[in-house]
Amino acid sequence: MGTEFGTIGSALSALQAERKALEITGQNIANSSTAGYTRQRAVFTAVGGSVIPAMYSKSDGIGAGVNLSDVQRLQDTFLEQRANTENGTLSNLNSMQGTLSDIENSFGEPGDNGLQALLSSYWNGWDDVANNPGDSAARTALIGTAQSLATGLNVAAGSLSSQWTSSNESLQSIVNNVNGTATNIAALNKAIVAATSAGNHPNDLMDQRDLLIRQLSSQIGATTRVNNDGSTDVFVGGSALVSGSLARQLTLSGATAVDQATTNPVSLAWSDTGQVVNTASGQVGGLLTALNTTIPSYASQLDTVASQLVTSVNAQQGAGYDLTGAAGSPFFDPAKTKASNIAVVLTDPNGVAASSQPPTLDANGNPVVSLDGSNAQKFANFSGTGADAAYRQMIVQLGSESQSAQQKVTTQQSVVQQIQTSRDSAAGVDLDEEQTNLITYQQAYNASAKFLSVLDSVLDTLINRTLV
Amino acid sequence: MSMRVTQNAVTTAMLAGLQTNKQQLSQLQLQLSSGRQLSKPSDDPVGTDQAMRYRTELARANQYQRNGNDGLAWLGTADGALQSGVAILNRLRVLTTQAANTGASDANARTAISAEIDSLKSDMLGLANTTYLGRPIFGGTTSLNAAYVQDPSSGVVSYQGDTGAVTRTVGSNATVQVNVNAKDAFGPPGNDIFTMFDQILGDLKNNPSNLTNDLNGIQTSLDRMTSAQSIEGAAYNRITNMINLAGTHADTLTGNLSDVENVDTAKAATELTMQQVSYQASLAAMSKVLQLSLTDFLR
Repeated sequence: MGTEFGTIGSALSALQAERKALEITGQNIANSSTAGYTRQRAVFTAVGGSVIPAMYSKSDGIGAGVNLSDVQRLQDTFLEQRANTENGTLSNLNSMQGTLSDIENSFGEPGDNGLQALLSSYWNGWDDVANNPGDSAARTALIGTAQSLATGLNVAAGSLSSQWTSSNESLQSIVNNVNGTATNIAALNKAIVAATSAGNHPNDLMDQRDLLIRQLSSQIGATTRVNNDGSTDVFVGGSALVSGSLARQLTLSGATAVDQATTNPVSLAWSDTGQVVNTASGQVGGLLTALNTTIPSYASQLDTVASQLVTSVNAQQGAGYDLTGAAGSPFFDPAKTKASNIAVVLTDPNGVAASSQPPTLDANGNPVVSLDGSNAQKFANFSGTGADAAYRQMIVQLGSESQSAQQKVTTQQSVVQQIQTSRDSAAGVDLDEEQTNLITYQQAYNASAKFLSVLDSVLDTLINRTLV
Repeated sequence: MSMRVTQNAVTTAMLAGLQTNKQQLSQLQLQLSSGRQLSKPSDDPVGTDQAMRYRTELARANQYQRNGNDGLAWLGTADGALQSGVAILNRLRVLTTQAANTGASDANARTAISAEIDSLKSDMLGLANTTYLGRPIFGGTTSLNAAYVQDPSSGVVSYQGDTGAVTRTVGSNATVQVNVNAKDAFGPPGNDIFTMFDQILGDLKNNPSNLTNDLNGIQTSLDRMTSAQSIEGAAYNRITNMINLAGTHADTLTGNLSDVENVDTAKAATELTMQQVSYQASLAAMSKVLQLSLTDFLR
């Protein structure tokens, strides 16, 4: 049987526990809109009497009040990990879709100002020369359209190349950010382990750490493992980026321009071991795909368009005769067959090989050039085939790839949305619930205070009124 | 397990819904203001393929019309020249007949007729050297500035052009020859219309009895010239047909292109109204739901 003063202690434990629970509720309400905050719950344990009897120490079994044994973080670890993975996939898809839509914008098709329109006006220029082979205005205009076409290809290649460079720069800054975040997570892990071993509840530190992990997972697709000491390990591509209080660093190496990307791809490696990280998720994964696959592939398709143009035009040009009677010399520089450097070498309008007839000799034996336009007419047949077809094919492929990326993003967004809702549902603060708790704890506190005053009056009766 | 519904979850879900609505709204507004439903390849990859083909074909169809019109101008010039040529030959026939009937008796009359025929010959030379944009239309593909040249001392006219064809592309793989060869219009070199003129002029002077035979030569030249005219006429018709065809094709292509690229305004406007209604509804719901909390009912 407990003593009267012992019972006061039990009432005190109740008052303290309820007040602590009220504080926790207050903290929940205060953080109801804090990003990454996980709601907390007070866990009460009844303090029982000793159930193992001894000679002079026997419990009556009623117990000695309440103890606030734990402050729980109501987080669903599984959901948290799933949210991280899906977020990583989403930002990966987002980054790939962004790359494709940037490429689309740089081509401006279908429209009146794209490369296709330039190709069409070049072929039509040949018809004007065919109609009037002796007219230097038509020839000059043709060379002008050829120069705009070459410039159009140069500009398109240039915008792919600058897109590559800016993607590379943003990859570099994301990797730097990842390295910094990993260091921060390791520091938080250290603080959490220290606090836990001292018997504290470092829930807010854990929230901060989980927020950083969420950021890492969308940047590089990180996965996690929770340890018993309260720390969390972070893995990238199967290797530990953060292990307890230790963080490793990542470095980028490889190509620095789009034309090196196929031979020397950009790669991400661990600074300490030099081992390559095989990650296909997060923004980093998306940017690596853009740098090593997407942009180089479109750059090389554009080069195909340019080289087909140079080859076919120069061959047809060589089959004809120009206005001086000589066989046609190359129209485009045969040594420059890439979209980035294609250039018109023909500067003399008379050099356009419109005729398929060699010059004839007049009565005095002087050569007379032919004003035949049939060689120029043959160029018109290139319209819609060759370079035109290669370019169209490339644009259509770009369109379908970009469309499919957009659809994937939309699907992934709804997946992430759903997980976000589930996460909010498990870890988020519900104000109605907190206010209900508030009333519960308040009433319990009031009742404990009442209990204390009852005890007080019992003792008063015993001490002041008995045997007086 | 029933799901806990928290304030944040409600807000996030509603915000996501609002954003979807707003996105669709802005997409429709963009389509309506730009008038295009296909502004980048990913909007419709198949449509992009079609649009690009239509655009290439359209550019060609317009060029075919341009080529055809240029060909018609050439043919018009040639037709005018040949018509005048026929008139000259008719006058030559009248004069030669006159000379054949009366010329033998009157040397003065023959001199007068001879002078007129001489000027007819130089008219004919002018016609044969008719140019279109500086190019002799009966000279084949020569780059010289005249098809026939007259020797200043002997007065003999000879052909210096070639037999090349001048063609215009008026359709996919359809080319039409717009020039007639000089030998088809004026006779083969050495036995052409100018040789005939020289023959008549010679006969007038030295052998008036042969003038009756010369009338046959005039008839042959006339036949040649009218048949050249009909060749030009056939080419004219063919080009006109092809221009009309290219025009119709261009109209069809423009229509097709518009179907693929441009927005159906009535449809988009209706969708916009519907989208506005649903956006308003979600706004209204959001403003109502988020007002409520237990706080309102606790004292």
